[in-house]
Amino acid sequence: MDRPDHEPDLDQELEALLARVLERTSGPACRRAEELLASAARPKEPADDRPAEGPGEELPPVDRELLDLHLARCGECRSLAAVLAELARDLPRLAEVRPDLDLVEGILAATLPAAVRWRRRRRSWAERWPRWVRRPRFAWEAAFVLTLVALPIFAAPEAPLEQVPERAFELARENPVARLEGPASEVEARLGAALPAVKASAPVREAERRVAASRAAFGEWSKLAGVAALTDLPGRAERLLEAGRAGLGTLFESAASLLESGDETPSATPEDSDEETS
Amino acid sequence: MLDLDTLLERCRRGDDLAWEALVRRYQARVFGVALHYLRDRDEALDAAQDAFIKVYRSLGSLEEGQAFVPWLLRLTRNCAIDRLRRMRVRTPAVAVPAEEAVEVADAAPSLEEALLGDARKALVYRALGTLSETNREMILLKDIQQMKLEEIAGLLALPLGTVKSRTNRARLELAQAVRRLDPSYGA
Repeated sequence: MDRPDHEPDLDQELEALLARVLERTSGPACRRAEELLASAARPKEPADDRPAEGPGEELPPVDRELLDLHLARCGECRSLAAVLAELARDLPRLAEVRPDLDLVEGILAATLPAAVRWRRRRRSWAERWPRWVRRPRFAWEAAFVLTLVALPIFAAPEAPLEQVPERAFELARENPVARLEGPASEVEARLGAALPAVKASAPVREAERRVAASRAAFGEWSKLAGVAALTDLPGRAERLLEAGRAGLGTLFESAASLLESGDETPSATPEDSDEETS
Repeated sequence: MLDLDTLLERCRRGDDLAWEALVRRYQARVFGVALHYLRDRDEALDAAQDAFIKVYRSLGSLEEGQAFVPWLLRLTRNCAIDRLRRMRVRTPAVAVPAEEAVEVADAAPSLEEALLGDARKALVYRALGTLSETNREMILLKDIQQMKLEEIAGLLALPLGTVKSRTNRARLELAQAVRRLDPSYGA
């Protein structure tokens, strides 16, 4: 169908009317169109495996339609849309910039050798140290180094510990052993006075009683062994006797010596036990 | 190409070849970020190297898989900003006359062209240079490095809404800057 001749004029008039209305009401809609264009500027690339995000990346259908209507009429916004679309393609290509020299060499030189060097140094030190210490000269060297260290600390003028050796000599001249003799003899006298009380104390008496009981038990056991020897068990009795001598003899010896030193209690000796056995 | 998780795992175990491969894979990206902040080739190279050395020192605690790249970019950004601060406090040894300073600024695009390889990328790069630092950073992180809005919000410690609005504003500003530099762009 042929368009009427007056239609272009009508379109222009209608556009002019729209402009006047917008001017007197909300103002041009270009600002809103720019907002939508900017928020939808990044199209989802086919190779992009990152998930789409936010409502801004994909315009809602209503906004898209409204924007398209505006773009159909507004050359300025259409041009902006073209630039934004072009930028969306160009900007990701700036993500990688090849340096004119390879960074890898520099980075590896700054990282790996340091680590390797440290590992090697640690290993060689661990291997070298025992050998170094075992050398005959080591004692001389250590003495020399310690002297070098000690001199500035003790001997040099204004040294922090300069007074220490002098004070040590003073103490030595004062004969510290003689100073200790008085208190030592006092302690000895006190111990001597306390010893009878210790010997008469309940634990010592209890120990004596237990040793006496053990002796009595051993005597009884020896008699039984003798009886066993008479009743066709000579081998067994002998072994028992031997074991008794070996094990308990030592115990008796120590107990007897303890009592001997502490009291007038008669001592128990292996001879005694032999007598009882026989 | 080797899976990133495998590569990172090998790096953690001290495989020197894996470390070399990791540096080789991300050096251009790290250098690109550093160059955008510093706009100086030598400083950007040094910042990229600093960033990789820091990565190497924290190999034991490397971020897993998808979190690695944002972490690497954040580290690079920090290195670049540190270096930028040092550059700003550094005073020139001799006074530079104003005319010479202009010449230095004019010489910059040729360097960009040499680094970026084509004039079209260099044009966008130049347009980026006219933006405010905030807007440039938004474009760099969102549109160039393709970071997620949440990642940018975390990196810059900004609310998500602020990041969205700033990104949109930065895009519009960049589009206008490109059109000013080259009216035929996008036509």
